[in-house]
Amino acid sequence: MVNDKSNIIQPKLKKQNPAHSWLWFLLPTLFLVALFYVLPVIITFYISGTDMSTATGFKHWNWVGLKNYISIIKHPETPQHLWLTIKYVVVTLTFFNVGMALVVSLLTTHIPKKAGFFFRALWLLPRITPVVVYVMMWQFLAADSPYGVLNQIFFKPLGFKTEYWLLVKPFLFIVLVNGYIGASFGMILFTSAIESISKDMMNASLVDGSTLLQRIRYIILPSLRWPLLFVTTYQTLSLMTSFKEILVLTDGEFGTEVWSLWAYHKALNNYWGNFQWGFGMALSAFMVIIGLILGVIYMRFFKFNELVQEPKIEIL
Amino acid sequence: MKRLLVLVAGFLMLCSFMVFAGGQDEEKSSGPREVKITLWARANEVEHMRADAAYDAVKLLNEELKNEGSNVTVVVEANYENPSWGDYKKKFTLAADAGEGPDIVLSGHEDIPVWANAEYIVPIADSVKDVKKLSPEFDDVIESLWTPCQWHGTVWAVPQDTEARPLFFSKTKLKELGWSDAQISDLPNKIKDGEFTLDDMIATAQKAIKAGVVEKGYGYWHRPRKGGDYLQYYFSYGGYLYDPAEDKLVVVKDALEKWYAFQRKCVTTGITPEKYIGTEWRVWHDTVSHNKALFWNGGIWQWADWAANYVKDEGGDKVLYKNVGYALQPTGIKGKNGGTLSHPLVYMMTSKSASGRAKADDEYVVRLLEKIATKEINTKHALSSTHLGILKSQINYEPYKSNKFLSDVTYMLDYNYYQPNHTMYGIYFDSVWNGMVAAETGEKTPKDAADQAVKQMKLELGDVLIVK
Amino acid sequence: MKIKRVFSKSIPVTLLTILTLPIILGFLWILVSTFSSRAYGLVPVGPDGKFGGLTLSNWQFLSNKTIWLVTINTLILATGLTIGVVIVSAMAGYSLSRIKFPGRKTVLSLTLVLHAFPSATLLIAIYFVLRWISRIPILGNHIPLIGGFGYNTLGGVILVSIALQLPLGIWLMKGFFDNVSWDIERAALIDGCSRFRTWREIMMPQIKPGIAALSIFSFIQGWSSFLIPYSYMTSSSKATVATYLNNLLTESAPVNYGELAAVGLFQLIPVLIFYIFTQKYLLSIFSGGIKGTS
Repeated sequence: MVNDKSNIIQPKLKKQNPAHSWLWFLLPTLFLVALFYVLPVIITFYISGTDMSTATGFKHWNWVGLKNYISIIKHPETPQHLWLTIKYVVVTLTFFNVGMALVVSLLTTHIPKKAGFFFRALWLLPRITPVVVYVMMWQFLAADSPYGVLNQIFFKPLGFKTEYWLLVKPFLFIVLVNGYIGASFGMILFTSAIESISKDMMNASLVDGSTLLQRIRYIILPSLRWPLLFVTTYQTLSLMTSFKEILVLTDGEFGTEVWSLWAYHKALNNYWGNFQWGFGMALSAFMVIIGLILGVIYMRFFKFNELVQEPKIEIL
Repeated sequence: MKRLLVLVAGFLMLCSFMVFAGGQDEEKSSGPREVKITLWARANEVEHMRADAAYDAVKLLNEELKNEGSNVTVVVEANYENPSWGDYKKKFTLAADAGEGPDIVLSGHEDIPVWANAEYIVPIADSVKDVKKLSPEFDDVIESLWTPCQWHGTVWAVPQDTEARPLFFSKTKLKELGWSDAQISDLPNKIKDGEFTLDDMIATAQKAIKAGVVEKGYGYWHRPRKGGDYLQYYFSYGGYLYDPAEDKLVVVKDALEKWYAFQRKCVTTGITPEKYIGTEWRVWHDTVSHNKALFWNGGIWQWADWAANYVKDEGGDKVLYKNVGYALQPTGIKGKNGGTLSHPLVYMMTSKSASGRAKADDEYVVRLLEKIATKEINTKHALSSTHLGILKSQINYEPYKSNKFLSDVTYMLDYNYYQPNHTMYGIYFDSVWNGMVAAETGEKTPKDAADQAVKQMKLELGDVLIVK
Repeated sequence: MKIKRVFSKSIPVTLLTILTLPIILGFLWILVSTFSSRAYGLVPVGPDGKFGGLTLSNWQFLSNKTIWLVTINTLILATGLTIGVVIVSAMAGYSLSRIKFPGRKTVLSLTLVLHAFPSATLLIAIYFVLRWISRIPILGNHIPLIGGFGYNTLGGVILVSIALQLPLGIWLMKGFFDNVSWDIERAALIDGCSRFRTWREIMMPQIKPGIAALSIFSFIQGWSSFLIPYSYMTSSSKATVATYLNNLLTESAPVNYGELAAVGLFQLIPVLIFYIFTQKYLLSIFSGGIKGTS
């Protein structure tokens, strides 16, 4: 692959690979991160200390110190939004983004290849469908008779009461709607990790006479540690900060206003367009802090340091 | 990978082909000076005139300019899109603050104080008296419509359209219930005069369910989603939103509680389904337009929608006229007039810093707005979207007059009220809305819901709120 | 024995079908409603509530030139985003995986935590940054085709979208580079290749599956993005497919759900094609196994 013969005699590595070459590789990232994460976060924290809103515009705001944070603490809705967010993240993550993802990838790798491909393609559909259409699909799965599919196929023929199920079980539906999107992320990563386990090892386990469960426990799961850490951490944060599906599905009503949606409503999108940037930014800042803490805890828990191998070139 | 690239390239070519296949109109304009005026509107296809009116108007304006011997030609670029109001307003705010906003922006009147305060828009005239002197068109605008266009006495906007949110009722179902034709046709009057109240409505709906005229839960369908319509019940029980003398928002606790109690009562009496708020619009429209509910609260613009999209194959608005009657929103207190909430959309002129337009060109923007407000152009919009007109002369203008529905509901403007122009109104609304949902779903008692709403408002609004 | 085999094959399929049922039913419903004017459950019905009312009118939007215009816009956005994300995160992933430098682990863990910053709520703050970029001459707003990198330019939107996709990109890329054999790289370096050339000519071809996986996630992201392009670009001629779709939705007037579903299906065709073509690469993510993580 390398045709450049003129350099072939050069014996030493270090001369042409100066120690700071890593910096050049990281430069674009550092640049983008500085511009679109670091700076905005500083600005966000800054705005959270002001009374900036559509009413003040971006010019006539006042500095109010910690007032917005005190408002969060005093706000009558704070406990319910906080508790809902925790419940929502934990349930969706456990049952779908990690749980369902594992189940689906295990199942699709234990059936014929073509069938596995087909089912995984189905599971990818929710992720690639435009949110408004995807949510509409759920609304009409759940809709009251005669419009709803679930009522038509299951509840009516079986003689149950028909209802608009979304309104009866709103929490269940925000979990389902997000879970069916979220599962495909882990599914893709887990599947490829499972596929990459060497066939010899898999076959050996079969010859050993170990059961499927034993194989999962002793062969598959141990090799999923890195993807598991990644999926769990990444998806926890995704679930905490994403709200688009809930926004379209219920607009946060019937007790489905998660924290990030609350922040979004206050800062960027409410019915009459009066945005409270200061208060909204304080809500986001609060979430950023929680996200940071969670990230650190996960890394400790999964022994992040042990998972990161040392580069070998310089060592040798 | 290569195959994929070929596919992408092919797809791109197909797209460009489809774009250019349409052909492009070349716009030519002559004249020593050209003033370009951009307009943003939020509208759906049916309401396209909110933007396209400017193209009609600019023809009139240029003709007039030519006759005056002016060397100016006005060119218009008007766009409409249909995102949520929140996204639309956010986009305007960001663009205006960066100086890349349009010259004219269409939005709800409640944005006037907010955008005026942030210096994104400039006044049209110093007072209603002055604005009427500007042109015969402005003089022709229905008097009460200037109210929502003002803030602190100054006129900041020109009305674009307005509406009413009537109580619709099924004439055929009422007849099945044993009402005579005379009784049915008299219902709008009785509501107007306050003889038929919200309680009467509940009782009638209950009777209809008992008699089997409509199914349980189909006695009364109010609006299924968030919206200003609900404030009509608050008004019905004597509530009001604003104290103009003090420029403060007002919450009347007693009325708030009665309103919440009414919502809950709809559910407990069985005239509204138990799990109702949040019902899909499609389900809602299909149900009410197909004569399945006895009473429902909607908006006049929905009439066009029903006729065009829901009962088209059964005869369009003919079926609607046969089945559906309309009246003001009944009062909650006997003897008080019925009413309706109007929410006019208005055109606002942006400031120099928001649009980059030279101050001297403001004149052309105002003159364009005058031409947009002619009865011919406004009536086009009123007819295609079943919104009410904004001009006094429209009432006798033949195309408008001959539309039965519009002429039937125009009287409602005499009994209407508006939401206030106040910078903190949106926050106020969110609080009362949350309380209402909690009350109707039974999550809280009406009293507790009202208490929490007031508590939340006090916290978020501070001293701009008066609690009565 | 044979019975047992059939049994063990059919159990996973049955289980999968049950778990996938909501998706199957849902997309059936979407399909049915794009071809009917009204549907009760999965049955298209006419005005009388009986079977009927089939129509093609929901697909009429295809003859409208706007849809093709926004498709081009979206394609440019999604492609630009995908290329950008792949290059930037492959560079970062390479250095984090293969080069030893102080603070490497810190950078890596911080990258993941970046994801905790909610993109939508940073919208206002990022807006200020974009406006600041706008003030830079030429770079800000005078580059042909993409307009520049400031507020109200396509370039600006792409740049922001790339940044928001980086945590995922860097971590995926790092994972893949971890699994490339050291011998190949060492050989190249001893041959006298610079680090950069080694990266480009030796390492990148080794991680095609990773590039495929990242491409698909980024492409999906770019293809369906609404909030960022809509908020940061004022002209509706720069609208994306998602904006077009949102224009069909409204609270106050006619919503043609059938058409909405049809546009939705139209929007997912390119992504589906993308997925089918990259599937074989996707499956070999972590191709070298998780060796080396000890």
